Amino acid sequence: MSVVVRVAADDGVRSILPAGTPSVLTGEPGVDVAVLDVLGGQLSWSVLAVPSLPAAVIDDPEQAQDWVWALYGEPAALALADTAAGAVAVDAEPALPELAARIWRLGLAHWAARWWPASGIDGIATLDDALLRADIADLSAECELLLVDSDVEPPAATAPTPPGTRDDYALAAGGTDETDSAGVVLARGTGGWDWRRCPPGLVDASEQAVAWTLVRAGSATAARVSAVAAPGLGPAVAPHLRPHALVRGATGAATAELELRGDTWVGTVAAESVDAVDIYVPGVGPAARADDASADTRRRVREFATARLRRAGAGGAAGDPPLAAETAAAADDSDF
Amino acid sequence: MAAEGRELLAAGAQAYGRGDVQAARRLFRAAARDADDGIRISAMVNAAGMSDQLGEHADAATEFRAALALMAPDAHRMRASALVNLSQALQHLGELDGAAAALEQARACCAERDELADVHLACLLSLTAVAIHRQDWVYAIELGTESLEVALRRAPRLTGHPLMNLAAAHFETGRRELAEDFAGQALAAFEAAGDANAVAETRQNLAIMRVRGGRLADAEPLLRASQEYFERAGFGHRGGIGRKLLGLVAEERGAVAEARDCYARGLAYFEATGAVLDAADVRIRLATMAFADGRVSEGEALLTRSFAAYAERGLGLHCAQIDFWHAHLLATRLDATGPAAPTPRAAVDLSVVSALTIDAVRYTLPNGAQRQQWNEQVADPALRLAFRFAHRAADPGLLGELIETRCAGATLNVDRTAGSVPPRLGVELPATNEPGDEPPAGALVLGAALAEVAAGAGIPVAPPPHVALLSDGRPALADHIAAAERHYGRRIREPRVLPGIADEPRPTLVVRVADAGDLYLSWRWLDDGAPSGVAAIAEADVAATVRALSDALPQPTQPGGLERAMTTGAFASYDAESALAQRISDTLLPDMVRGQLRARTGETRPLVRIQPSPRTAQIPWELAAFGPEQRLLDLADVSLLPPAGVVHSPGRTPRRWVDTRDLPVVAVLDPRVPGHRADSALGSVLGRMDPHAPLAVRVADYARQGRLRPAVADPIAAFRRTDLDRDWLATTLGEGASRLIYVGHVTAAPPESGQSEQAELHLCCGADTLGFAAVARGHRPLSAKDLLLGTHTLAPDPSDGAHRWPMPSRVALIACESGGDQRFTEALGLIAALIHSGAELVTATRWPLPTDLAFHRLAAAPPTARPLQDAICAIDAAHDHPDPVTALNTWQRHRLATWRTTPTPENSPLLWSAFTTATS
Repeated sequence: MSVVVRVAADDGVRSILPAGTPSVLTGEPGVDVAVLDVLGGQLSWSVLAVPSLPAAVIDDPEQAQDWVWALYGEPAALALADTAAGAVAVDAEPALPELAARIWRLGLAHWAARWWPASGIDGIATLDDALLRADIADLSAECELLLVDSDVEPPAATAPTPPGTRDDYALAAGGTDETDSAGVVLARGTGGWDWRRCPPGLVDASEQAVAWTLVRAGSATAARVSAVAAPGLGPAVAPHLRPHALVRGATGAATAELELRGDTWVGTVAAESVDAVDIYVPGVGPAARADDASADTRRRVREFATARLRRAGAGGAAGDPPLAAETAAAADDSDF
Repeated sequence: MAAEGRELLAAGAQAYGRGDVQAARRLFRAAARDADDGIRISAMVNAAGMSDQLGEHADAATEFRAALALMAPDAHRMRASALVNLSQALQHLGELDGAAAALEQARACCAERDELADVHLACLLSLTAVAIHRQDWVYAIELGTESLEVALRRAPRLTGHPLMNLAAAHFETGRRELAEDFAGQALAAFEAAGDANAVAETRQNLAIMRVRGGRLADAEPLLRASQEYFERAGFGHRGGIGRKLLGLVAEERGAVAEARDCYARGLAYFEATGAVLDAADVRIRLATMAFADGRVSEGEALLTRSFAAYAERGLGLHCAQIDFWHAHLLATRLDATGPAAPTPRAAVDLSVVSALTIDAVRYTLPNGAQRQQWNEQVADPALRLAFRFAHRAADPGLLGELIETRCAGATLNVDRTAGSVPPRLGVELPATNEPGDEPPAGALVLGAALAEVAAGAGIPVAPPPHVALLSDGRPALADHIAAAERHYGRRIREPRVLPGIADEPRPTLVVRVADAGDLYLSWRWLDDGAPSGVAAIAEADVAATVRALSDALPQPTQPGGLERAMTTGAFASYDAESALAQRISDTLLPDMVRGQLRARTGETRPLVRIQPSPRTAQIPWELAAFGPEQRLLDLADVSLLPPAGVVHSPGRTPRRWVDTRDLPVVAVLDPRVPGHRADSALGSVLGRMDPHAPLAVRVADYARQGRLRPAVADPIAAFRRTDLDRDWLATTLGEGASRLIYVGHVTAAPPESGQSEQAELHLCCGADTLGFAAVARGHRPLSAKDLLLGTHTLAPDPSDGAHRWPMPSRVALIACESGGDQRFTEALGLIAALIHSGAELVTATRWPLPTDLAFHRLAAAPPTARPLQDAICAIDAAHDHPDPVTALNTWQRHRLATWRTTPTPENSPLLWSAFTTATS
């Protein structure tokens, strides 16, 4: 395919940009974007457009020379070395296709550690942390050519135990007591949340994870907010990681810290009406609200993850073997 | 001619401007006689208005009617205004029906005509005033909601009026918190509008609400502030109300003389302003004081005068409330005299007749929550007094009839306040005045949203039918009901008579329990093989026993609430359980009943059919210990008797076992609830099914015989399915079934909410299915309300619940507290819904069930123990048996024998005594 090799006039930053591929030059990457630090630069791809050539942003062309040749082929490497300020389009073809495939998988593994949309509601299994770390270590070792030495973790001495078959089920043929009965329910709603605003593993990634009811009781109106916890979240969550809810209404916005009750984060926010509820951990992610397109991106990421798990369960696709963490998650039948 | 008419009209207007109303009327009448049509009609309307101002309301009404008859059909504004004016004249004449009819015409005329919003609003406010006056609260709320909407849209400065109307209507139906909320918003709206008069009125209204809530001290500042305004401005009527209320406050403080003075001044105000009904109300206060001083005949004379004032105006419910109050005053005097004093027959009848009438009001209320409030705060004190008098008068016949009436069905009544609130005399909210012309703005979006929700419909309940007495089949309380309908001029029963209970082939004891402060219990052998009787059980004893039981039950929603019940509660050891069972027996079963059961047991065990009251809904009657080694279960079989009103509900088609026994078994076994992992609160209740487990083997048998729905080849495929949703259930039941067995989760609103119809089954339904229950985590539960109402109000082409989900003869709901509807005022929960939809027999649970995992993990039961699965198998087997009640009781007797010899957690009645079977 054709790529544009560009050298910026002002600061000399070089880039190799396949058409339509997000680069770290174009602002905060979305939740579908894998970003990988490599020798002399950064690679980025959308995991939704695979397999494809990454976008590369290069601040040290000398260090990057070898992998530019390996990933994009000779014309791109020459263009990068030769081009003065300006842009030139060249045909790109990996000189080392196997390495290109591995680096993509390494990017995927790093992406999954941050953005994997684990959800009990949507039935997307959690990836085991230790297995994912082992995947990253193994792939890093195979991609030494691109990586700073310190980024290459030694493979784990012993493989972590994959999650076994668990047989846990409910303790009572009854239900959760979700009916805080007092008051009159004026309105209710459900929705998703902006994944960029909470660290992974805290809140279920579903578009149904967040629910609110606007309740009138004792001459006061308040929004009762609940957010389903990420599957497998233990009861001990560090206080600084507790999610907050910001409720936007006609008369302004108010927030409350949520507390974990069973498998749900809950809290109450004084509000006269509810236009939107944001779930966030203070200091995490952009403060700007996600746009409408982001819900669509989340949907596509979920479809991607579901397809990956399905393929992993079937042994993986040719040329794109699943990560060990994916294989284990696909085999996990603790939710039966 | 035309010019002359116009001149006369102008001259009339001038005269009116001078304040010469008589002259103005003369001129308008002249114009009406002589002028052309257009002017003529205006002149007639004006003349009518003058008559009304002169206090000649009958003339005014005639003139308005004549003008209306001449108006063109498209003169909408003129017609609507004239109708509103006509209604005012008719209200002055006390012709409330005519006034309401005129207003309804005006309302129809204004509907969808935005340019008439001002007339529309005036009309709606007047209609609301009439509805409030007639105590038609449902309609008042509907009108209040509509008028608030109109006011917000077209006259935001007037929003205080509809808000205050909503406050009044909600208050009267017992939704006090909501009422104060609306009143607070009304006050804010009037203050924003700078309407000093309305501010004072609203303050006084709020004070009334607080007085009625027993918060007299909180009321006093509001009263004093508004009283100062009313007396200064010379508003006699409101001044009278204020004086009366200040009298109440004084009485509460013990300042008797000050109170009497306030009442006297209030009465003077009312008499001066011709406020007959308010004067009647003050006389009731004075009567109460007279009774307290022992001046009984003076008090009764005052009450009689008040009664007459209400009766003349057709206000039957007020009359009933006076009679209840009269009975209450008599009771107070009798209590002061001592328990030996004879109870006058007249007092007994007074209390029964008035209580029946007051109680019947709740069938006019639109939803369970409002009916629940009305019961608790208005009807219960009256009913409690009736039960007490009947008991005191040692009239077991009357007491029995009261119990049977109270048990009849949706007429079931709850008594959660448990006697803590003494009866209080009503204080009425005065009707709100018409709005003045110039209030400033102040929109209240909240008010409108709140009003809409609060008016939201629940399940309508039909007025209660008569109920046939078990003894001789004649309608219970027939004389009292007839007297009440005659005396108060209100219909309190529909003419239908619910039949009694069909005879059984073996000796059968019917026990009915009613809550009315104390607990009242009646029993009767259907074969009259032993004497029947009634008993009253002291409230405190009942409360202590019920508490001892509920402390022993699993509370899975509380931390440690499951573990406690399984390891340290009364069901965790034989001795503690046996002591609890002894206590249940000692408290709740009269000696005579126990003696009769001992005497009548033998080779054929008698059947005991119990209809518990809401307070006793969780009592495991079969465990009741008659001695160290004798339980009710040893002597008899026990089943649950559903309310007669449900069994005989109109349109019910019971499916008979003998006709349907060969049809398929519909098995909903541990369905996967969308959005809930296996290990979550709404996760799997059976765990991973082993093909050799007893339940899997039973299921495999059904599958082999081709009886299982869903039809599966591998029995394991019947568990944890993801496709068993409400539509599948509808189709499968529609194709015919002998039985339905459901193993899963049921959740419900708390009993004090009154919303039994919110009990919910958790199937595999996603968020996009149609239903009444709220969606959570992408899942919509199937509620009792769905089963009762089907898709009414939800679908363009609705079908009712019994049609959509035709229930088979036998249904087992093995889930948490699936039989919880017995704990509600109106048992309209799942058992009622299933019976209504055709089931003859329903097995459900009285409390939350621990799963086998809980037994293993929390109670250290051996891994081989599967108490829940064993119970499911036993219930399933019993439901396939020709005589399921005997089969279930036999199984429970086996479990009891094991519990006696091996009292380990997995053998505890905590699990097997949770089940109860209702037979229609």
